[in-house]
Amino acid sequence: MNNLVNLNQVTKKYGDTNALDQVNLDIPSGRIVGLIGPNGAGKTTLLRALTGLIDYEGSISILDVEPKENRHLLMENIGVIHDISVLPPWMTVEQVLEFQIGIHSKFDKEKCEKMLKKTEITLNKKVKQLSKGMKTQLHLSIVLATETQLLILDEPTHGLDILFRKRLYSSVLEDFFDETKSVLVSTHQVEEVEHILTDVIFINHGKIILYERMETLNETYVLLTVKKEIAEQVRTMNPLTESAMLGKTTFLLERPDREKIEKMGEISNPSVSDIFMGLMGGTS
Amino acid sequence: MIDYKSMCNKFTILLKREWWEWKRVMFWTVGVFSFLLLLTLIPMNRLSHNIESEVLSELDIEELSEEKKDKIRLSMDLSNENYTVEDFFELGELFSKEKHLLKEKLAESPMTIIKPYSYGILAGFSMIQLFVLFIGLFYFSDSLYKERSNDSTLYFRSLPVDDHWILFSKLKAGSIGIIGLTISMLSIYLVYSQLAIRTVSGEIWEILSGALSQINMMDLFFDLIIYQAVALIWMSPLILFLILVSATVKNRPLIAGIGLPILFSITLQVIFGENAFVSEIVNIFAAIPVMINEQNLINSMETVSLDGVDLFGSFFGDLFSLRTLGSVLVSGLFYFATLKMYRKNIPTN
Repeated sequence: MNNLVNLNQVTKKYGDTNALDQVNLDIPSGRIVGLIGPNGAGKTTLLRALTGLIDYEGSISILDVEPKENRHLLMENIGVIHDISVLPPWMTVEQVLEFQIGIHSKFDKEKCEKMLKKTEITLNKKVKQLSKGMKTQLHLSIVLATETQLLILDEPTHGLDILFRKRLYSSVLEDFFDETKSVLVSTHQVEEVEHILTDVIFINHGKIILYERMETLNETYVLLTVKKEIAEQVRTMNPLTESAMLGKTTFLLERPDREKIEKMGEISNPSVSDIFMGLMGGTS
Repeated sequence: MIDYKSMCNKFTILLKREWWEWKRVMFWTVGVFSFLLLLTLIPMNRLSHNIESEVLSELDIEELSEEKKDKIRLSMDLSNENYTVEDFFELGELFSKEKHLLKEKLAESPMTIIKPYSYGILAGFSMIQLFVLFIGLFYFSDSLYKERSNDSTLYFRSLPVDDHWILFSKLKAGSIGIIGLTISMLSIYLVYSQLAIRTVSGEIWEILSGALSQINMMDLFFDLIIYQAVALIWMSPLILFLILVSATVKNRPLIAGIGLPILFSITLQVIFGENAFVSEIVNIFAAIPVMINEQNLINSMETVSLDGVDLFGSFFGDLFSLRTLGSVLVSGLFYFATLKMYRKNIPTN
């Protein structure tokens, strides 16, 4: 399978701080990858490096294009949505579409207008007159109506209500994703994306902490719920997290001996946010 | 293979984008300019009447007989019922005599009339230059800053457009805008100058129209447009500097864009005792009296010293000069600095 994204020893420094620290990453086609990390972990820096917006050390190749010097070539085949509203506020929706069709040869205006008809966005409105959700909706419609191979979403649901968040991800699945394309979505709200992800990346302090396929996550990490009396015994196995509720204690364990722990208590699959908490050093 | 059609389409839409963004400013500028011109019609009309009554008061009324003087006095009161048909004829004769005397008196010193109107023409052309200069400064210092401050730079840079194209489109749109604005304001000014001359009183109009008919307004029109094009090249270091500021600063690009050159010119003045930057700006404005002077209109005007102002020779002579070469080289340096800063600085916040 071809790698759409390839990063090799990518480092980005801001003063003495390493915003990205020797990052290596390969993302093949047909994947929806969640880039998850706390605020200031380096998610946006990584995405900006990928889209050629900032300088970096090391090498990046996206669809065989180096983004720093050839950003304009790269943008023929990737779509980007940022965590803030970036459409020019003084343009009308009609003008944005006209501009997009003049600039991007792979933009399908009819498809975009069809998507917009399902919303309350009208063509004569100025972007600044739209609500935050509408602006994201408009940008998403434009990006999804453009034939690209990679979609990069940087906290796209930031500040939006739950209804719109659900709609956004289902649009990405319905209107964009197939086995030839990939999506890289950054968020710190793990629970809202985990059901659509094929892979997950945890990033913190500019370093990749974890990069795994979703199906192998459940083989690697296990939640074990035991009675209070057995808790001390589990603690010797260096659990990642521990939480107590209704007289029982739940532990997150990494690569445990399954046969052994099955006898100790109840086993379940952890959520991505459980694993995230465990690996980022948090406890609940 | 290079797809020229696609490149053309992209560049056209980039220019269109600038038009969408700035058209309101353009329309407002032309509107305000027209409004100010219309306002000047009132003092212009007053001025013509003032000149006329001043000259009338100087007329040697002794030349007229005592009897006629009485009739003139009577003419002040047309409700007088003692008038006969002969009186009216007499009065007509008197008015005609008076008109003739006024015309003679005015013709003795036509510059009394021509001079204020010549200054008016100079002021009009200078006003066009000032408007264009202000809008140019505003546009170039805001062009990249605006998209950085409202984050739309992230949108424009998520599109398949080379950074060079974005910068070129700003430069080209600005140049087209400046020339377009000049043409629009000049056209309005031509119409206005014809309208203005019709608002003045009859006797003055005859003298003025005689003098003004010697000016080839169309020549002035094209002179200023061609001059504007050459001046744009000479001003290109300042234009590129403003765009560099626009790509760099976090706030108030106009103040930084104008303030830094002023500081630079003060430094030059202190160190070398001369001020190349200010002389350049003054020269550009001094070109207008030069052009008007070429029309033999304001020979007696005591305007700025025209010594050493050799701005408007021939178009090609001016275009292929050392000055142009110097401007292009300095602009080139600023261009690459701008490109570097544009790529480095994403939004302002």
